[in-house]
Parts: sequence; C-alpha cells; structure tokens
Amino acid sequence: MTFRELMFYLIVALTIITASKYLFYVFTSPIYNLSKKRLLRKSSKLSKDEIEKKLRISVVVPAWNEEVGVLSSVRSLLESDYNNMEVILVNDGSTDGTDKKVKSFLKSNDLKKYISGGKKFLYIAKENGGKGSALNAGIESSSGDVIVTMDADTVFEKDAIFEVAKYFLNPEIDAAVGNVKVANSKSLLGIIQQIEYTVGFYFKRTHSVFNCEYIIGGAFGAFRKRVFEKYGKFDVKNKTEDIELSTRLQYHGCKMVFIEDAIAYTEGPTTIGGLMKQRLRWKKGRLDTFWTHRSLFFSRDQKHNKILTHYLLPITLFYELELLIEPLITTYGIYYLYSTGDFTGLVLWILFTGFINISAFIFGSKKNSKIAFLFIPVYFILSYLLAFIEIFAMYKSVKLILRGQDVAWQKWQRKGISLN
Amino acid sequence: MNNQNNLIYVFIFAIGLFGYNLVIKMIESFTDKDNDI
Repeated sequence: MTFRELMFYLIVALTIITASKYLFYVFTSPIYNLSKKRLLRKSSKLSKDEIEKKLRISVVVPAWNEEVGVLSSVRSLLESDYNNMEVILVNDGSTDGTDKKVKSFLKSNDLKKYISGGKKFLYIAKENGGKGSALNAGIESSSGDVIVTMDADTVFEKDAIFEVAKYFLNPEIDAAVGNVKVANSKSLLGIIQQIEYTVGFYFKRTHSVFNCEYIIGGAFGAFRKRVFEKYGKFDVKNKTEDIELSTRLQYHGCKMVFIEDAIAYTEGPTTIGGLMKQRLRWKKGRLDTFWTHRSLFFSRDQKHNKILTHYLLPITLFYELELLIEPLITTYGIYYLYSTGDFTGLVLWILFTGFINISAFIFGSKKNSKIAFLFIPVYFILSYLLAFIEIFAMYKSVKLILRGQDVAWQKWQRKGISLN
Repeated sequence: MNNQNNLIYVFIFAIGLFGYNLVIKMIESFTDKDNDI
C-alpha cells in the first residue's frame, strides 16, 4: 500500500466515523424535549411557591484571584427569582483584591437589598488548596438539598436556579448540567467559542436522553447533596475535578441530566494563550480521568450505561488520540486539494456540518447567539484555529504525562462579563 | 454529474433533518395539549 493510498483510506475512515457520530447526535437530540416532559411530570403540577418550599438550594462559588468578575457572579445569584437558596462564596487564598471587594460588598447596603425572602449569603476565606478543596469547603458549610456549583467568572440568568429546582423535584435525578453560553461576542475568538459551546451543549441533549452524560462542567453543575455523602466530594488532587466527579458518578450508575433552560454565561478566554491554557487543562484532566476510571471502558457491569461505556468514552478517546496525527492529515488534505484541484469532498463536508450547526442553533435553546449564527457559513475555516489549539494541547498533555507533571489551576486575564 | 448527485444527497439530508425536527415539534405540541386536558 502506498502512502497516498494509506492517507486516502485514513481520511475516508475518519469521515465515515465522524459523519455517523454526527448523525447519531443530530437525530437523537430532538427527542430531548419529549424525555424532559417525563422528568418534569411532578414539578409541572406544582406552583413556583410550592416548589420553593420543597427544595432548598445552595450555590457554591469557588474563587481564586477573581476580583474582576466575582461580584457580578454573586449579584446574578442574589438577583435570582428563587428565594429558598443560599450563596456560599469560597475565597481560596486569593492574592489579588478579591477579599477586599467581597468584604466591602458585605458591609454595603447593596447586600441588604438582595437578602430577602429566605436568601442567605455566606463568605468563607480559606488558605489556598485548589478548586476542588474550595468546592468541598462550600459543600461542607451548605444547608441545601441540592448543591449548585458555578465558576466565579460566570453569571446566571434569573430563572436558572428555579429551572434546576424543577428537575430536582424528581427523586430519580442525582446530578445535572446547566446550559453554559460564552458571553464574549465582540471578538472572533469569542464567536468561535460561542458556536462551539452552542453545538456542544445541544448534543448534551442526547447524553441526557440516554443518561450517558459524563461531563458536568464547573461553570454550572448541580448535585443532590446525598450524592456527595454516598460517593464522596470533589477530588482535590485532580485539576479537572468536575470531569472526574461526573465520571465517578457515572461509574456508580447515577442519573444525570442536561437542563437546557437553566442558562449561565461564562467568560471564554480572550487570547490564544488563554485558550491554550484552558484546553491543555481540559485535555490533561480528561486523559487523567479516563485513566482513573479506565474500568468504565467496555464495562459489562449492569449499572454502567452501555452507550457511555461502549460508544461515547471509546470514541472520545479515539478523537483525542486522532489529534496526534491530525497535522499529517491536514497537510495531506491541503496537498491533495492543491494538486488535484478537486474541492468536491470538502464542499460537501462543509455543507453537511454546516446544516448540523444550523439545526443546533434553530432547534436548540431559544437564547442562542444571533451574531454567532451569522458566522456558521465560515465556521469550518474558523474552527481550524480551535483545531490547532487542541492539537497543541494534546501534544503538551502527552508530554506532561510522560514527565509525570501536572497543570496549574486555570487562569488567564479576565475582563469581566456584562450582559447588558 | 456525480458531483451534482452528491450535492443533491446533502440537500436531501438537510431537508430530512429539518423535517424530522419539525415532526418532533408537532408531537411535542400534541403532548402539551394532552397535558392541558
């Protein structure tokens, strides 16, 4: 077999695998709304007041050097239309002005305005111990039946907590992931991430339908408190403690859902360097988690979801490893286009993925960004920027694994979010 | 000719995808009515 033939078969195989993955997601995601009705059967018969009386929610916000956005996050929570809740802000030994800002907020009349109808605000300042330890400190001080975790660079919509409560009235549900959107839309990098998040979170509908979700991200997660008591809290040693916990919950056969109507806006990295750091942390953390929970792969245990163990996890790992040969494939693809002048395959692929992205925007959440929607026709080209960052992150992750090193807690220059 | 056919298949896929979503939406609205009763 010549090199040319090898590359041809490799590209055809990858195209078939990717296309079948897209087809699976795009035809199962629409079923989400039907399954949602079954999950919400109990809460649909109750008024908002009745739901509030039944469920107390604690929101834990870990913060490390988050002086730019921390108060916006706290305010967005205190402005929530759900009253039976408490907000626990955990300062994980910040060395910037986070502590000063929060303390002046505590003294201000601003806070008194928000604390009404049962809402509580708790501030914990502790020594630096990492995000997992900050989250655990918040969980230990919480009084709610459900713990919501959020990042300090994220803001919630007013009804987000109420949407969470509606789902958790169903005793079957152990954990949930909210719908996270990227707030920065004034830069190309922000728009690329907006499209990526919109399509990615639309596909979480499929994970929810088949109960195979294994990533409840730190920006917006919700857990029944008994889950922590039964299966343990966040792993303080893992840098992607959110992925590790949710994979661990899948290992124990927990039911996890996606709440599309619970919306939060997060600040995506605004520089290439920041994005690289974020993706490196995600890649390394995911590989570490896969290694920790490797027994989930092709597991025959009754309590493990078969779509997760036999399809989702193996295919995710396959795509991670495929990144290592992606530079070769891309170079050959460019050479092929240049030497033959045959763009048919590329055009068909752009149209195919373009229609899938359009359907995610049209049939997904009503609050998808309209500006990002306009960029879908050129997203294929733009997404290559993300692809190069992912390739870099993958190579660096492998390097760190081989050297036995770890990544630092995610940090980049914040600018803050303004939704108005 | 072959290229044209492939293009037609992609557009048939798009129409199928949007039609499928609309059918699901219709089923949703029927189940909404059932709940109202």
